[in-house]
Amino acid sequence: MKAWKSLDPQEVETVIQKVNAIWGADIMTHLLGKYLLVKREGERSEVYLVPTSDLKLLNLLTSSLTQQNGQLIYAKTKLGFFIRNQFHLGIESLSFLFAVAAPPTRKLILQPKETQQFIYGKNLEHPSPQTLRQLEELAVQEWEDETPIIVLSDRQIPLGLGSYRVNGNSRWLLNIIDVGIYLRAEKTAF
Amino acid sequence: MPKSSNKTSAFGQHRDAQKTVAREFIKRWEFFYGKERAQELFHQLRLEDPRIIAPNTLLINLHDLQRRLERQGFKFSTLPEYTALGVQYEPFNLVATPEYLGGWFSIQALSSLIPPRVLPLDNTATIADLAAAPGIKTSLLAMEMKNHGTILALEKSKKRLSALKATLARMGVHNTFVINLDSTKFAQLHISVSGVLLDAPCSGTGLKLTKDKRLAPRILSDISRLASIQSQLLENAWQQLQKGGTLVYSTCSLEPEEGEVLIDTFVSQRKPEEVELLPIPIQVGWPGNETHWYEPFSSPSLEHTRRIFPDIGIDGFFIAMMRKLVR
Repeated sequence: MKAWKSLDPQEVETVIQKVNAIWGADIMTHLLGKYLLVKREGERSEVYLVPTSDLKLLNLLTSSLTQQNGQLIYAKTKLGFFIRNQFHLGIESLSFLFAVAAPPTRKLILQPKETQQFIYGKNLEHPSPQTLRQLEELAVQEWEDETPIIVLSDRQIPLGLGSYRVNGNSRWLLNIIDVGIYLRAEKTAF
Repeated sequence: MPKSSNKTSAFGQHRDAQKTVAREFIKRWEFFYGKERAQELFHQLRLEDPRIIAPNTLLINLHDLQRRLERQGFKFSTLPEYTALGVQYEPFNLVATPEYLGGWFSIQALSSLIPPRVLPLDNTATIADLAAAPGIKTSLLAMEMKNHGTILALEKSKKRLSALKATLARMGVHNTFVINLDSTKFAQLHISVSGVLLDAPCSGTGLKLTKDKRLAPRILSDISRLASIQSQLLENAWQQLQKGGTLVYSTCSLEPEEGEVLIDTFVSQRKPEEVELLPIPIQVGWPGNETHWYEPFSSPSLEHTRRIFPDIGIDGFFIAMMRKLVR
């Protein structure tokens, strides 16, 4: 049975820095006034945002479920996960962050054909001029090379996370995670 | 015990289907619902379900969803009474659209839309969904609650948890605790709730036969076994319901033991000042007390329950809503 715990201060700091870097703005300070960060421990420790008002219920659930051989599997909003001390933002968090936080400043809006490619799990090896221009603008602003970028469809639907890659003369978008995973890997990804 | 006077089955001409539908079910339906309705019911069970989509109202309304998808070549009939669309033409599979993957709509049976929407909800409610996978009804509850309050989504089967979590993630549900627990143990969690959705595991005899030929493996003993589990689930849920709280009970079964009889027994075992059967605000089906049973039903308020037949383009099911009047 996987245990539920609060994050230690170092882990909290890691999460804050990573989320803020991806979003391009400090959204976590505001959120952590209303939400707690908790984790479900495992090889891949899942990190959740739970409203502070639910702390009592969370404690009651974890203790009574232990007695009944049940398990708490998911707690309100999954923010991401830790693997080998590295925090990764989860795709489940995007709809929540879009709903509660200011829009991300680091985002990439794809063309319709690119949207289809991206949600099929593919990298964009030959980005359109419009997409390439956006990627280059992101690079000019000196963000960390491999910090994920929020990827949106042309109709403003969050599609996932990508990363800008440059190799010699070629510039492309690496697909880190996309919403197509809900179909491709429903049984293993969640 | 009265018996059906029909000597020949209403389904005599459907020999191939008779192989699928057990003889005892046919006789039962003729007895419960009348020969003519049973014949129509069986005919409808053999038809394909229309593909139905419903907007994720956290993100988009019905009109905008329709307009958005029609721009991509899809065609729909509107079902405003269900806040849903019937799919008439797909230039490509709907699930390959960014709108589906982004959680802007769900695909489900029309009958799935009703139970979560009749449960009175507010933004501060704590609701238990006692058979939550694959998560469509849980998502609908979250939409009705505007993603506020708390849903306790219980699922006994470990295998079905992935689908449940994926649905909640895709639909952007952020007010739910997912719990792997047999719901017959719900009362032992000692958590009181203001509402319960109990879409109980059932024989599924109201589902279209194209869905896994569900009637084929069913035998009558299943009905009594399932009714016993449903009764346990209901008792457990009722125990944790707060005074003034509401419970919606539904099953996709055509068998009165899993519907009318179960609710009639439950209500008649309690004093009138303890439980109130509430009217279901839908215009389909007939009142539960019109179902023919071997003896008269005890509770006059059974007329507030609804028996829905698969003869209106949706799966057959039963639904009841009860308010708890005491602690």
